[in-house]
Amino acid sequence: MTRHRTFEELGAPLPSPEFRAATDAIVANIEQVIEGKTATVRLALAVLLAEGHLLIEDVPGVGKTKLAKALAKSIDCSVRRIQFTPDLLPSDVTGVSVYNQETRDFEFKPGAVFANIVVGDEINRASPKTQSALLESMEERQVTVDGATYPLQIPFMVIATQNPIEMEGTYPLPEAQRDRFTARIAMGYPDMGAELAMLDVHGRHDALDDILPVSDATAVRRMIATVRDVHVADAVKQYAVNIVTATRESGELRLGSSPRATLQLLRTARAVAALEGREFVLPDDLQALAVPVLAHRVIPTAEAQLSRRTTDAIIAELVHRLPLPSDRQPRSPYDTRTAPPRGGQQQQFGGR
Amino acid sequence: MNQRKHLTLIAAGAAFLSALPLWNVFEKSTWAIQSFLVVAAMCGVALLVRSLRAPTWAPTAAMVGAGLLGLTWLNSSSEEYLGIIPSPGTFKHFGSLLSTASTEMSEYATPVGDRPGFLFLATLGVAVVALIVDLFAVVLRRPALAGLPMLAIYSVPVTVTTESTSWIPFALGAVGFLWLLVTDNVDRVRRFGRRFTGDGRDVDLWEPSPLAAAGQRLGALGILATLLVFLPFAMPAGVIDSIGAGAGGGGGGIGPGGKNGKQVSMFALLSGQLNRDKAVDMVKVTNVSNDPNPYYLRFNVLEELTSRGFNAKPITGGKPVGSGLPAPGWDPSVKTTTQKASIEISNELAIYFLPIYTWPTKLEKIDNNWSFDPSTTVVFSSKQTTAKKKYTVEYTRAEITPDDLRKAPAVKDTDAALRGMMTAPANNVVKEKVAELTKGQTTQYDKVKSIYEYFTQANGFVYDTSTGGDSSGTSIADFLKNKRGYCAQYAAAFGWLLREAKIPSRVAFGFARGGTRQGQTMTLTNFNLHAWTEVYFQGYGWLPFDATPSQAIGGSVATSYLPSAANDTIDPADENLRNRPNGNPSSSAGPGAVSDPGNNPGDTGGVGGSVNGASLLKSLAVAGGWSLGGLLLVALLLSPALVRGRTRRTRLQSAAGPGPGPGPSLDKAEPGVMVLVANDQAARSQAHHAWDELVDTMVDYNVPTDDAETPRATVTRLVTKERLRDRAEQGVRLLSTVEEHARYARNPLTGGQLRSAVDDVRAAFAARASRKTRVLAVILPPSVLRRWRASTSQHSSAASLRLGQGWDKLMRAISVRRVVARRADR
Ligand SMILES: Nc1ncnc2c1ncn2[C@@H]1O[C@H](COP(=O)(O)OP(=O)(O)O)[C@@H](O)[C@H]1O
Ligand SMILES: [Mg+2]
Repeated sequence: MTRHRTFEELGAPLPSPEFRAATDAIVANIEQVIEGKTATVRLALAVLLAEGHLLIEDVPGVGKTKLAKALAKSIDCSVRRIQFTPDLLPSDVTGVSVYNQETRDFEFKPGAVFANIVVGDEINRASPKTQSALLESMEERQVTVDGATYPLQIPFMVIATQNPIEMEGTYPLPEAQRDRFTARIAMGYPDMGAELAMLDVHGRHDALDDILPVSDATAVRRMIATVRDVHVADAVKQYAVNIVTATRESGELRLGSSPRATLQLLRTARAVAALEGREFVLPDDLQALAVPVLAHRVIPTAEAQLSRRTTDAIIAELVHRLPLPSDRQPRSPYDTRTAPPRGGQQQQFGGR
Repeated sequence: MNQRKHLTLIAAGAAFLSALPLWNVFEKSTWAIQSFLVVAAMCGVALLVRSLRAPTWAPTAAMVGAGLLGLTWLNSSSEEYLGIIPSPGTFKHFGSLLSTASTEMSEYATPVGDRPGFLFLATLGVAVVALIVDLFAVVLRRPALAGLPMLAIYSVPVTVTTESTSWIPFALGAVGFLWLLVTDNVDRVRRFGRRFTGDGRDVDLWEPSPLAAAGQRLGALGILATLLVFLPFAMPAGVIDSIGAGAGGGGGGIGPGGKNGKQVSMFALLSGQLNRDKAVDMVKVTNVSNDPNPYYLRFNVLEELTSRGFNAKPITGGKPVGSGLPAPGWDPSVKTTTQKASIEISNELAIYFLPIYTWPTKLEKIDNNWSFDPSTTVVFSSKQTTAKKKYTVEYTRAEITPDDLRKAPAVKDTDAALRGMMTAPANNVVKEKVAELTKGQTTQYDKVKSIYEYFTQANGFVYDTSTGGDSSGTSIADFLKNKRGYCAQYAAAFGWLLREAKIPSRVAFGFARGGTRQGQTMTLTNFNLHAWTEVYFQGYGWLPFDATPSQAIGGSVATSYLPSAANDTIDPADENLRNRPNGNPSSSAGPGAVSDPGNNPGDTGGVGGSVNGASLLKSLAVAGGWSLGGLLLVALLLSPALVRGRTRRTRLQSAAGPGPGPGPSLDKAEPGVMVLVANDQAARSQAHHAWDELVDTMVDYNVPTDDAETPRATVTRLVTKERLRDRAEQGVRLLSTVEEHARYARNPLTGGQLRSAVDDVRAAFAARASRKTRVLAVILPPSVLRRWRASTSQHSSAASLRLGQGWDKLMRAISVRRVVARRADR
């Protein structure tokens, strides 16, 4: 169970056609269960390949649990499902040391997080203490119980679902905690055709029972290696930094994105590029990912909240405006955004 | 604050530039140095005050102060406090400078020397323009309005100078105005931060937006105004002169209120025209009724006499010519004949007064835009000029003998208008002279004759057209002393002396006889322009008396009431003299000149040929200069197109690459498959060039561009919104794929037919664009203009930034605020 997460451990990157075939198979498999949600499914897969965690936030009954389970079931790896309830204990998540009478020693009983894919359903129903036990292991990819540290497996992905509407008796994740999730997606209602198809296919029995794993942990590790290998040009890195900086400087946001967000944005962009069969990241990838990756981490100002501006809208508009960085074109002299600070000019007469 | 400072600087610069055409008015550039100093002082003070966060009126007030100090310093009267603070004496000095300037204006032909009055006037004018431009452009943020004062000073040289002039200062002035407009437009947009289109897309700085449209309208207005002023200078010299003359003549005081001060131009017009290098045909007169001895063709008269000389009185009366002309009220004993002449004016004479023979009874073929004023017998219009007019005039000729006039009763001074023309401003020289000349003369006629005879060569008077710019000045007292002058001075001096003798007189302007004759048709040129005096006799009205020596001018005509004037009789051969291409019609060929050859500098008989040759050379040089200027203008207008063409060629050549190399290329591969080449910088720059060309083409054809948009998104937009299809769609997809790889991939693509792709897209844009867009894309490509505007504005803001930084440094060094702050803290 003890694994060292080194690059070699991931295995050799998959050649492009194989990668394509493998990812397409996973997507197709999930789509047998979830109707008409290709983009969401692909994004979920991208998060897995970007070594991130996914937060699915939407109203009840739109297939959140279904998607999480379908993704878990498509990959032949260890899967654990935790139904979060108010009485769930941290040790249920991380594990506990129990005294073994035979060996006369403490023995570690691993909790639910010791799996490749952990489905945390209704995560906002658990107490903050339990929530944070999960969230810590998500970030550190290891669990420390009674002084002993136990690393988690690769791949390790938490797919959490939460319902934002019914707030009674819930402990909503604080924004700082949400930062641990690479992306937040909303399922959204299926369109009419998809809903009809759902009635036909899933009317009688659960399609989840029909599907079989189409990939395994080893393949996923190699896929991750492939994703890590995707090229990111300097201009794209600059663009990522610019986007994140823009969230920090926006007048509508009280809290901008963290450097962790920058990192995860680029990682997810790599995964998306790879899923599209590209060997390099495009600014378009970043644009497409800005909302799912950044919107759940930022906090709008009171005014923005009052005018009912969602963070999704704020981030989308921000990205829409931000010019592409280009090393070939000098910065426009009329660019009034984020002027580089000039040596203390502001403070010169500041002592008045 | 920084933008205001930037604009302050530019407003001052633009105001100064707009004054540059004054270069044509002055001989030296002292005026420019002085004006520059004053404007610089004003600008500096405005910058200072604007950096202090003073109230809005403060910079303007400070500019007034700085301008005043500058003017005082440059024109000190030794009455200032501390040598620089203006005192009441200073303002008196300024007043006297202004009044000398306005007197001298009538006396000096351009280019003028560094007369203190003129210098003061010019500096004051530039300072006032700088102040108003700053007020409009910086305080009120209405730079288009700032164009008005700029236009005013800009157009001074156009109305003042009659010679063809250098166009470079005019071009610089126009550039100044455009600079102001462009910068303000940019600043105005910057004040709002970034701009977005309706759908929230961020737009490029120079992309049209409602705001930019306003700016463009202002810009167009500015260019139009510039062109209106500039246009005369893009035409042959003759037109310029006639326009100048028209502007000058037009102000003879027509209409209520009168256009004061323009009468100066009557004299200026005369001296300017007489001093021109070549003769231009102005009037063709056909003597229909065979008048044996027609008098001068007359168009205007000056009736008001002040210490500054004769001025036009605003004409208040007058009826449209269609309602008929009142017959002259002759005494029944006077023998009269009726004559008829048909007159044709050329394009070269564009004035608001109609040349007619005196005592007209009927005007034909002239519409009711023209009015007849019986008291001055002037036919005038406030709407039309005489250019290209053709009309006939019927007029009476009276045989009046000297004895008739001797018997004429004394002038009744009950008529207020007449009484006004019977007094002269006090002048001791004139007073003594008149007393001496009229001593012992009892009748008005004899007094007139006696004064008339004073202006003969026997008394030392010499005809000289070059006195316009004489250093001694040519006010009438000076003329009486120096005894050198040309017809206008003779006429004015004679009139002045008559008024001193309580005899009503006025100065008439028109054409003497002469020119070339063909049968009954006589052609009059600018050299035939003439001025003479009219004297009022009770019962006879206004009678012309020409005091200019008849031998000095070609077409002098004797009158029946002065049969044997002291001046010599006319030699008909003289009538051609004024056609000489020389400003001095007085010639050694005239009988009088033989007695006084040394006093007629300039033309002496035989040099006529060489003068002609020289003037041919000169006109060739002028023509060459103009065509060179024209070429330059065309080159200037075409340069955006040329620049665009060159960029396009180099880009497309580079995009086409060095041809199929040894490596794999797309040409050989099957369509749609591209070949990756190892990190190939050349391939990347090919792609960039092709993409840049695509973006510029979009700009040229008014397809929106967006620097927040990825190549991929651009293509999607071009295909969905701009509906590119088929080859154009394939082309644009290819371009974007290649550019995407060049920008973001490890290895760029190569071998695509980028060049033809760009051409296909361009063709598609052109096919959908309106004709105007298509033409503009070729002639004035927006992509080039946008880049130029951006760089202009970038450089000028960089300059102002540097200035501001220097300023801040200075402030830190002086640290007034800190001292004050510290004190305040205590
Ligand atoms: N897009 C969809 N495609 C197929 N089935 C769907 C879809 N959305 C919802 N369902 C069905 O709705 C039911 C509720 O799904 P579930 O995942 O339990 O909802 P929740 O979002 O509350 O977790 C499931 O039976 C699922 O099959
Ligand atoms: Mg559920």
